[in-house]
Amino acid sequence: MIKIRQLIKSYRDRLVINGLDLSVEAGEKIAIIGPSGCGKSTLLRLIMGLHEPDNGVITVAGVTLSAISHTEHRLVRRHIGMLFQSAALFDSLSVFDNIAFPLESTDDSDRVIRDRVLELLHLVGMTGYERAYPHELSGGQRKRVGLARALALKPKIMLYDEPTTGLDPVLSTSIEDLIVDLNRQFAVTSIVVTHQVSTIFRTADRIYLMKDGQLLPAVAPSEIDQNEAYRVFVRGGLA
Amino acid sequence: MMRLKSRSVLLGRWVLRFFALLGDFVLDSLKVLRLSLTTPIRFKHVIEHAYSLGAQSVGITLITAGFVGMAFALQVVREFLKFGAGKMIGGVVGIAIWRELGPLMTGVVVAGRVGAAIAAELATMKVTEQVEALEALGHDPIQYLVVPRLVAVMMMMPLLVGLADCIGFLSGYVIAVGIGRINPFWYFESANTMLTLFDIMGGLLKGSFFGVLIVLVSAHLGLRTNSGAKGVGEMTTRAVVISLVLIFVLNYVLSSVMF
Ligand SMILES: Nc1ncnc2c1ncn2[C@@H]1O[C@H](COP(=O)(O)OP(=O)(O)O)[C@@H](O)[C@H]1O
Ligand SMILES: [Mg+2]
Repeated sequence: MIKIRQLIKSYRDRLVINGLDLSVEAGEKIAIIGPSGCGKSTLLRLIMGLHEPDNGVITVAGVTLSAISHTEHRLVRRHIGMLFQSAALFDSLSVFDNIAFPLESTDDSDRVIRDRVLELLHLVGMTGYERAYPHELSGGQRKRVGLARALALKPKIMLYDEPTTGLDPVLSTSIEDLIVDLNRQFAVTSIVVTHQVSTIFRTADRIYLMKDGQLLPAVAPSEIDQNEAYRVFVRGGLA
Repeated sequence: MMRLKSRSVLLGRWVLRFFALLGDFVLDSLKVLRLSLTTPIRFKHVIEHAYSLGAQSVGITLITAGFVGMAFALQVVREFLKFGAGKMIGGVVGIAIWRELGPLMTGVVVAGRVGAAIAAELATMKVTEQVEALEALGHDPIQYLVVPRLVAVMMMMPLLVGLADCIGFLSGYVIAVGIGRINPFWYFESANTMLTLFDIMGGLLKGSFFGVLIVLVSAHLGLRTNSGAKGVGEMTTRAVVISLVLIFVLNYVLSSVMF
């Protein structure tokens, strides 16, 4: 579903991604962990086609990103849902209009869009909030609405940027439950990226640690403690 | 010697950086203009922006134009009466206002009000990932966010300038007649003979150019903001300052070409 070969990306003179390889099969769920600023968000943006790589090849759903036009790019993007770290809801739009936003560029009638929005709100546990504005919501609620918006077009791939960072443990758990549930329900391919490694492993089949612009060989959630590099990052170096 | 060298290196870097930024700005602006001409325009958004951005500026435009018109007329009245040229006051005030003061005042007011609003709004959207979300959902941020604002401000500017012109000229009348004891007939008659339609239209056109400049600068800087809430404030200030300076420069260029 997603294939990345020898990816390189730098901002000005700062090399962030340095020869990264990754392959995710359809339906797989992976997590990428690493310290803040190591390039996780950058990687997601590259997969989404929001940034151009300096070098390397990214293939999403069989389409090589560098080989297609701007318009085709937009079509590919519609198969990918992204939950941004800050949820990135549009401040000037109500919750309803935020979720309806991606649907407005489809041919669906207002009636169909309305039903779909209400269904999505129900799915993320935000029924009754359609008239609220983003500034009236808590961080966790915003993430839920962001999730509903990302799911609106029934994407095949979901990218989650720090879905639980900044939330308290109870909220984190409920967002994780939601991710696990949605991933199962819609059989999406998913990548979760985070520096806050609490219980995020529940959402993943495999975990990668990002280091020096590359990914270390993956481990299963249960194998974290057997691998030195992973253990040091996750348990803070304490044995 | 060492110090001289390091200074010239510093200067060189500064010049390079300046041209890199200028190049970015020119490229962005060309893209905005190209998209304005080649893609369908969302008129619903244009109307919303025209209303909110235009309405924001009406009050302050009125106040500014009123007081500048009065102050200018006061000076003209005093000097012209010394030479017995009271009959020409209306024409001189009219030309100054329609050609220069009206467009310039409106440009300054709109740069402060609308330029700041656009820069702050887009910068906030940028640092809260809303711009990226827009792209992720298949829209071009420049087409979606900048083009409607550009069209809205281009439409509003001539209206605001026209308003400023009229208020400025009438405030001048109050001073000329009230303090200078000029015959009201001569105030309007001299303006009528000395002003041409081209003066009036030229002034309105200048206003549109200022509007374009303000939107291009503010939107460009807003969308380039990278570093959080502090960046939003900095970019907003910078957008207003750069817009103001460029308006004064462009005003001189346009005046020397047009009038
Ligand atoms: N648009 C940008 N321009 C310049 N530098 C950037 C930009 N985005 C990110 N960076 C830098 O790239 C590095 C990686 O950022 P990011 O991918 O956001 O890291 P992470 O998500 O792992 O915390 C950071 O050092 C950050 O400062
Ligand atoms: Mg990040």
